[in-house]
Amino acid sequence: MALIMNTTEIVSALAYYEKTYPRLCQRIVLPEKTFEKRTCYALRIARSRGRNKPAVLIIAGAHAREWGGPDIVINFAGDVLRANHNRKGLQYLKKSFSVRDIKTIIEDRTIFIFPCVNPDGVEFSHNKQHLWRKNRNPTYSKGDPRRIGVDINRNYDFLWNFKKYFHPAAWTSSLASDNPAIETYHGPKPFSEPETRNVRWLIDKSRPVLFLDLHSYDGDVLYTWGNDENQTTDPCQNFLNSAYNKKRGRIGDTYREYLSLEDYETATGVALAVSDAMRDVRNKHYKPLQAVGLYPTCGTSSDYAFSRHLVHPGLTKTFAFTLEFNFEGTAKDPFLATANPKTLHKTMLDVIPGLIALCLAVPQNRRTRGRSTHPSMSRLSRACQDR
Amino acid sequence: MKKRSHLNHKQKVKGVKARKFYRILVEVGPHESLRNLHHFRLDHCCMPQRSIDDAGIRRLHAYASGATVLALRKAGRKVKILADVNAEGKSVRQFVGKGDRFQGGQHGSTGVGKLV
Repeated sequence: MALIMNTTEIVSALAYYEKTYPRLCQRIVLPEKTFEKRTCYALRIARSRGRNKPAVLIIAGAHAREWGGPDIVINFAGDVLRANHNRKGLQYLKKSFSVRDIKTIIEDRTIFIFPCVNPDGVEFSHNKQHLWRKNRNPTYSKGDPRRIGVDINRNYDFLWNFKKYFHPAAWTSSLASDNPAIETYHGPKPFSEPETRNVRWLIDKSRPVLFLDLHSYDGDVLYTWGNDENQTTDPCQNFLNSAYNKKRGRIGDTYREYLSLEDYETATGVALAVSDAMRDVRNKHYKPLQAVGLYPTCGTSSDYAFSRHLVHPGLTKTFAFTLEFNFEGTAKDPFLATANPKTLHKTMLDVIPGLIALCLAVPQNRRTRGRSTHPSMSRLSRACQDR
Repeated sequence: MKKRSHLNHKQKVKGVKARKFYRILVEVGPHESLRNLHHFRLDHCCMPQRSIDDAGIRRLHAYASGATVLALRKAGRKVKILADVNAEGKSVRQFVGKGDRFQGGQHGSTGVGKLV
């Protein structure tokens, strides 16, 4: 049974893969160091060949207290690489993947993993205050230790300025906060933090068709969107349309975020494939759920990743998900449940099949660029003025 | 019949101390907006929440400082303390790896799946 990896071990684990599988693995040094001067690493797993293979990007460790995320991602890589090396399939209790499945991932995909987005926060959570969620940037704290840090998963450039975009009734602390003393402090501007800039850089370089951000705690596979309920009929109601500023984020009202039917079907199809694979392990039901079903959010990694191709039509369309792992430990601290080696092991057995299923679920006949079903800003303005 | 406590023996919280952190359940009305608790600065993101009980009472699961617990109680909120957060954290620190078990990449984690 494994202990939780500390931040040094997370870096060493990636070095081990690069050393053991030099033809398949390449460790990537990310451009930004954290506030505490830690270097961040990602790993690229692919058989290097010329053709353009679809990329999958999996990140974890953004919220420091959600112990186990980095361990799951590293063991996912370890499983796939070991199985490929031995030309074997993989079994997780009742769920199996064939030799062909593993070969597909290695030969026909490019996998990027970034197991510890927020090493400063993770280190602090492991050694000082386990409930720490944010990074450790003290710039906005005015010397008050309770005000240190920015919530990494509220600092991405998607409806970041919540007071401008969301209805005042939706301004709860779970949406985001502009108060550094709150756990969801979103920073002074989008991408103010090196951790989020590292993720943006990795998305820019990897151009993933699938993106997954691993979190805990709820037992869900969350799909687009997180700011409001989805609808597939009115393209005018979307996050780019200023006519709907201050109307977003209230569940059950008239504003709903547009997602084309084609994208909705793809997003839910992938979420279902991931949750089915996890359920097959030991019948624990991870629910496919629209992200807003947890609570409305803004500035999150997954909404940012999916929104990129809508803001910049030349970019790759990235279907993005957040996986909230864990079921155990409702009577004790939920985020620490995976500290227990037995629970961590069970959780890895549950979640790694989901990550393998994600890699296998790359949408076929995918439209990787453009937004034919989504209006451009100019078209949008004209269409909405006509109403 | 005696009710089982959420706290184990070692973690019993005798008195609320303003500077300590606690994991708590706060009673909220079944249709009450969490906006009403906004100024208490409760930390409840991603925490598992229980559904409304048979009596129609909703309990928000959150972290809060002792000072916040006292303020909630002063405002007439029923607060149940589940645990002293620091005590919980200390008890699991033993499960975090020490040093570098992988010796800079000489060894590594090989996964948990069974090869078939």
